[in-house]
Amino acid sequence: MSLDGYYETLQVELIKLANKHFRTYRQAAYKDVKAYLTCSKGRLEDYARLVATGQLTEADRAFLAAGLEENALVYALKDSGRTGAALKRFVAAMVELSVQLLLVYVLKNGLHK
Amino acid sequence: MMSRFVSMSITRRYLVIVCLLLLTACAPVYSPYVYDQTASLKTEALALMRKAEEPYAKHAVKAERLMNDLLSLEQQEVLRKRNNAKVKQWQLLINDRGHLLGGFIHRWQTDTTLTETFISLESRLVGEAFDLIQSTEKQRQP
Repeated sequence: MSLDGYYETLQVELIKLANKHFRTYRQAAYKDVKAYLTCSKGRLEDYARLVATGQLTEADRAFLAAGLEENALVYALKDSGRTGAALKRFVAAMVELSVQLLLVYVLKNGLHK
Repeated sequence: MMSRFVSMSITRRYLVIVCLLLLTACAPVYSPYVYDQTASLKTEALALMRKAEEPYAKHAVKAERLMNDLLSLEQQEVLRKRNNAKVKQWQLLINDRGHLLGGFIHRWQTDTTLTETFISLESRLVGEAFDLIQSTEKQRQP
């Protein structure tokens, strides 16, 4: 299943999200988006494949989505040591958005090899 | 006039040097012990996670020992100065109400066994979290 279309949409939407969340620290947020896209690519692909083939239960999906969010927070702490609530909300929103878009993409495009 | 200008620039230079020294003094110190310990606990954690298809009771002792080792390392991190970011990283990883290693073990305990697909995805997340904690330590190397 090719996810190129998904990544293009995701990047655009994450930049929009960064613009919405940050006015002063926009450049840092763009850097976070770039790093998030790089480090989550493989995981999102695995996740999409397993969702599409029905190998994950609803509970598994929820657990893994929350795990992705916590992992992105661990990354944000590594990168800058920032611990602000705004950063936490932004990371949570990034993961939520990517999982939502992924599920929509998988439902629309099915399992085309 | 000229000598006043020169003395001001010397004062500024001193100020810059003092500020740099203060900043260096405030930076967290690298600990090779913590770095190695993190690597070893990562290996143990991932090896244990791979066994989550089997009943939890069979591996309960190992799981508890691992969680105790992680808690003890977290406590050592708490005692280090200017180490808030790493303490928060550890807390995210080992919190049993969370969704990384602590949450995984808790779920294994509750559900008795877990599926292979779930284990493989969760192992990647946990492995990456350990790597991130390790590289946070590494970036403190002088």
